[in-house]
Amino acid sequence: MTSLSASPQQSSSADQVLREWQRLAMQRRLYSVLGVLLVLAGLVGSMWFADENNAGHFVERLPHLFDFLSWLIPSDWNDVWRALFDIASPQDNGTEQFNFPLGRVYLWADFYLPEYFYLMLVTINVALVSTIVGFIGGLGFCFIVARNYSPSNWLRIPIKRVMELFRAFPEIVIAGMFAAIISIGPVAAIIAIGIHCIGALTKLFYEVVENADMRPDEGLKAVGANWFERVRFGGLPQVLPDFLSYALLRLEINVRASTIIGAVGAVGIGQELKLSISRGFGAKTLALVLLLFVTIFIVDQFSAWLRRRLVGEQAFLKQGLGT
Amino acid sequence: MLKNILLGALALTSLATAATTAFAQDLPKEIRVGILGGENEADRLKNNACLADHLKADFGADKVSLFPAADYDGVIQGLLGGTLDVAELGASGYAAVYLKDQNAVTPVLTTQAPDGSTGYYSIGLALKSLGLSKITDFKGKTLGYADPDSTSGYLIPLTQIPKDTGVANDQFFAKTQFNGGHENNLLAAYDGKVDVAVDDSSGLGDFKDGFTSGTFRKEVDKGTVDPSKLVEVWRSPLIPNGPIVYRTALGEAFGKKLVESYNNLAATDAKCMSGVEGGDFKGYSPVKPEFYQAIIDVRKATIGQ
Repeated sequence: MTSLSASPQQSSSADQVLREWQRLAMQRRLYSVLGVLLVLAGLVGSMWFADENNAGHFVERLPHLFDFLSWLIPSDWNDVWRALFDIASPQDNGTEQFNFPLGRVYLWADFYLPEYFYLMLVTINVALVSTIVGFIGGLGFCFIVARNYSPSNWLRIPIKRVMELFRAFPEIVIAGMFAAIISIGPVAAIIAIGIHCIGALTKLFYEVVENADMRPDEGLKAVGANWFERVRFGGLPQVLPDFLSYALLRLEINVRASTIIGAVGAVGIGQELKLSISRGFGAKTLALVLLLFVTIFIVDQFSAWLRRRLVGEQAFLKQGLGT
Repeated sequence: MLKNILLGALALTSLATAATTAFAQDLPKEIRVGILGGENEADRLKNNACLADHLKADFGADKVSLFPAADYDGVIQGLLGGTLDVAELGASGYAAVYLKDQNAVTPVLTTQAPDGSTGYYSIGLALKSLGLSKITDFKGKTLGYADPDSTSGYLIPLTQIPKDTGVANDQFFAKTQFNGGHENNLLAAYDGKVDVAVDDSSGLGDFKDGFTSGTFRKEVDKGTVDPSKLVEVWRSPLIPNGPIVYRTALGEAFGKKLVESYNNLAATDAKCMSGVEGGDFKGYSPVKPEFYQAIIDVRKATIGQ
């Protein structure tokens, strides 16, 4: 650039254009730098504000980051297994810290389900039921909301807004609302996660529907199919594999949501986890974290396997080849 | 290891400021007050705003911040970790701190009821419409606890109700659940979500007013609960009132000043005190850790920590 402007043969008009371009480029660079600085200032300012409003300040508390973990280390590592399977601990002194066998859920005779497994099952059940609720809701609404299949704008737009409302509130807020009506418990949790899930899945589903190939639909229209027949035979076969993928993803998300709601809503494993953390019960906390970790891993693996079985191996091969 | 490096780095950076600010024994410029979870946050902040003003004036502090924790454990962890300076705890909450670190906090004052007593009761309240009048009638019903770190809302009912019923609460009742604080617990019983709720109460004065102080009184005053629809079905032995504590690391001078400030509040601003403490009180009286030994022992034996 500098060599160009230094060239003596350059006509004055070309020179002018170059200088103008350089001026504009400088200006743009200045604006970029100013913009970045502004964002940084805003970021630092808001972080400082947040930090000021905390009881403990970030930098001065940083050294204590791992204090929290010291109590987690149990005095006897075998207690983790005992806590997990409700086996009596030699340290049992009648306190909540080591009362492992107390939570046994006897199914018949001497056969029992360990407390944490039972609570985990409740948590998974809540997630499963709310995913089914969400799937049915999403399936029902998505074709009405999708532009290419929507029977009428009078239906499409209001439903879309309602779905946005469903998604707008975090599960925990909806759970709080329903806890006020029907008390805390699994039903409030299912309604809360289910409502959020309907909103989320409807959005994901209708975006899939809007990308669908409309040629089958044209064919069906040409032979006089009604709306339901067009959806059933033109749309659904194309989109169902993606629907299932999204629903399974949602199931994984819902297991986590159900655990978190459990922490405040007395359902399943969440509350037990929260309590054992706040009490500083190392063995119990480790047992719960281990169980949660294994469960999430199994749910992930299971949903990947199920998706393969439902969608068919060719869907994965096709993606693998990059077509 | 990492902690030492970080602490070292922090010490270096704060050297400059340390030169200008004074020693730890002097009064801090910022006081952080933890407020126990139990009542809704807006009411807690409103009731304690005047306390912050009093402390600010008495300590000559730049800033007094109120931290309404979501549950009791939030305040307990804050005091243990050193992010809160002052709090009024329940006896069981104090026991929780004491059992984790005996020297973390120092109790200085407790509240004194109009009759001069420094104790209160855990009372079981149920809807009159159930037609049941004593705790032994509630076999197979549901029991609502307040917070897992509450004295009157968990520890005492957990250990004392079985003395009347003969069996552990888990077995006597069909279900027991934490309702997240005293206010929610009482409302759960009032709305029929649980059959009995155990909450704190002075147990003095008229049932029609919700007694002289405690959660029941607060809800009656607010108009959220109509006492004529409720009936007392159980009452615990006397429980020591919770202490006002400060973080021991702040030094004795801080503690002395805190006692002065609270006594000053009781003497000059009865309205503020009644809001902070939730009811009618005569004033504050000094306490020592020994006052809570019985509760500490009970907590150690049942909860462990």
